[in-house]
Amino acid sequence: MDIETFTFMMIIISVTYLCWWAFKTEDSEK
Amino acid sequence: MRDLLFTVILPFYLYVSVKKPWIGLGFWLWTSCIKVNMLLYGFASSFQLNRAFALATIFSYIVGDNKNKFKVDSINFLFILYFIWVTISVILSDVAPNSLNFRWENFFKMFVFYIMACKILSKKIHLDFMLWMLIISYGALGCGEGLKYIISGGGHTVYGINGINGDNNFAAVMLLTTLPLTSYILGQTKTKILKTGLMGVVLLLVAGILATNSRGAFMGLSILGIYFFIKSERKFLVFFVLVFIITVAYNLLPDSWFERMNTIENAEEDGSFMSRVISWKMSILIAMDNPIFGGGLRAVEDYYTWHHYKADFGLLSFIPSPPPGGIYAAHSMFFQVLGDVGFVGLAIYLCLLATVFFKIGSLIRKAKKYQVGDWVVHLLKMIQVSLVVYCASGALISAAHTELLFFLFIIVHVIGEKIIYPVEKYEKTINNKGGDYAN
Repeated sequence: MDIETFTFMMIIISVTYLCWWAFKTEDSEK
Repeated sequence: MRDLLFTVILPFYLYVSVKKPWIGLGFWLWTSCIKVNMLLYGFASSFQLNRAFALATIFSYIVGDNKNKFKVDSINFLFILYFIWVTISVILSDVAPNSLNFRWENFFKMFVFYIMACKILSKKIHLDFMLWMLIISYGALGCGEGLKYIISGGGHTVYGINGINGDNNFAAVMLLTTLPLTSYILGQTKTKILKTGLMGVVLLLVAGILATNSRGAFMGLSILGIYFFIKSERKFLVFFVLVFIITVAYNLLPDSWFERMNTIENAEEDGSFMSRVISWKMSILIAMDNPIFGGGLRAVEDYYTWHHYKADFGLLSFIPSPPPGGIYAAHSMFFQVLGDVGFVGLAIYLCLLATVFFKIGSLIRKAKKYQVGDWVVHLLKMIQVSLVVYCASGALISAAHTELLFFLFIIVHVIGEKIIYPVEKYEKTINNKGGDYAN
């Protein structure tokens, strides 16, 4: 895997996790 | 492979965007700042991602329950006024309509994003989420370049980052502006692994910025280092980190990098710098001819406009420069605004920047007075640094209208109106009631 593909994968994994975390966190805040 | 992965995950992104408009707004910012399509090479590269997330966010806001009022404070007033000014200048412009309409559409999209963000964002989690999206986007791309730079022993040069729509100088400013925001997120993070990861991101971002060979970014990086040293309460630690970075960078950087940075001192002999002077003079000539509304967006880059004002170049002969040759970009956010929207437009733009800068100082004092939270003070300070660094390094590139710059304005507005103002109002009410009872 080259650096560009690695970077892309990191972005997608991080964004997906962040999105899930944000979605759940605000619900639990209620 | 990338396209397939992205296509599989995209419905989930759109689902959460429709469910919660502030998450959609994060994706809107993400696809505005970095061109995700440029990272996809197959069928998914044609997806209109930015439009899809913008529509999902607006739809979610319209059908949702939480409808915040759009408050017009000094920042919003000046921003709207600036937008109107740009629009009038576009209407009156002689620049080729295709290019002009495209530029105005981009600016209009930023304006819509600005309005929606001011309405939707209201809590710490919203701001943190947006900042994380920025850091992941610019951070990951910058770290990738930083990693290549370190692995190649300083041999790798960035001419532009795939995913960021602009040249090496533009990318450097975006990465540089992200650095203080990363510092804020670092301060908010409790998990050790995440903290270590973010420290790694900071170091790789610095390597990525150095790899761009950008002189503007080098200036910005120096300002950033000095600021952190002066403001830090742990000066020894910051000093140690700075010495470490400078030592590593000094050994890693190739001779060509030092030669390029040395040209800052000998600007008059530098062809690249003199092309900027020519371009700045052209922007002044356009503004002199159209002092109120300017020549229209990116007028200086228009073929006919350039050649029209080429004939008047002698009017500014007291500023030494070679005669104009080919067409150049404005090469400075301030001269860009001057040529685009004239002296009056530039005055509005500068007022907007100054208002944001001074409002941050006033909000920091209020946040401390009403004990709103340490995070507010930290974030405002980092926004102020980002703004200074952006303007310092942006003075050498055409980056007057970017999502990142306008997002800094949005954060200041949201903190002022949605976070500090309610606390201030409550405290004042309590104090007034206390006074009434005492009487």
